[in-house]
Amino acid sequence: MMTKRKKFFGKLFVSIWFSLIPFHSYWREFDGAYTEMDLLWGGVVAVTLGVAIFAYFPIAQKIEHFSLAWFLVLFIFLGLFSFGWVLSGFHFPLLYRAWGEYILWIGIVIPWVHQLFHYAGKPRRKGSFFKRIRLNPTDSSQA
Amino acid sequence: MYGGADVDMTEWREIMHGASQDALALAQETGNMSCNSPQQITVNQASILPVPPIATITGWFGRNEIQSACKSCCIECCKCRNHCETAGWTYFGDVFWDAVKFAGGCTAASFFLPIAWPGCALGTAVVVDISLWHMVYKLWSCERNCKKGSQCQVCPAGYSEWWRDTDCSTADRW
Repeated sequence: MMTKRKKFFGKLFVSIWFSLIPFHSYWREFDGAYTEMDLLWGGVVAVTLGVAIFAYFPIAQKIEHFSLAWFLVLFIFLGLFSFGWVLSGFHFPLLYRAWGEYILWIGIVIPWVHQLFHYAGKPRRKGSFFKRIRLNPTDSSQA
Repeated sequence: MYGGADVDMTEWREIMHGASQDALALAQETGNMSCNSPQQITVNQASILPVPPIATITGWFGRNEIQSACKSCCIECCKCRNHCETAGWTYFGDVFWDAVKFAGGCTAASFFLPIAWPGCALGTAVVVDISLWHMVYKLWSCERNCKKGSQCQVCPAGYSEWWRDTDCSTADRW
């Protein structure tokens, strides 16, 4: 049985842990050649990301799989992931590569949270942004 | 030997660290305006960020702002040549740690939240898959961009920290 308190700590833990993963990849990319400013800005983004993940939980729990909202979030973060992927290559200077790693990992952890904490209650009313899209509206087997 | 492909990066770091100390002392003695110029670094920081420079707050992360800027430059030019041969193993280690980080976090979270282990396993598999392909991309990118090569002892302008306006090519021994 998941108590409210337990859920709160779980969400807090996930927010902290999954904001530290991108920060660690960013830090690792510098290979020791970072400055205080690099770490400061990396830390600021990590804290912001942690708060964003924590704030995103209640939104994620409203979204049904294969709804418009679900596609929109994946679309945005797939784009972010691709951008980070390209930026992390050796075509770019070290600082850009490090931020590329950061962005890449943000593009991995947010969709994971998004996927895992989707709405699992009763199907929503028709026309909702969060409702699952069905190709055949009469098909109720997947409700 | 600096330019050989069999250079151990740990040794390199020690060489670079020693060189940075020497260059810093030299710059302080001669007032040489180079990569080690404190004025230059301060100006650059002010131009990048609209906040007061924190370089004056010493010991925050146990690192020297000036040293690390030039060390970065050095890594850029020297690691590039020696890096590609050994980078595969480094990146492979990174893939392993990425998987451990993700799986560890997910498993720990499953004690608090309704996350089933197949969810964590699938997530970890995806992370490993992405990391492996990312490794391939970075190795390809390294080969393509760094094999053009350069003399390690002289950091060419192309590898200078141009985004911080720090010209490492003029710095002694970089």
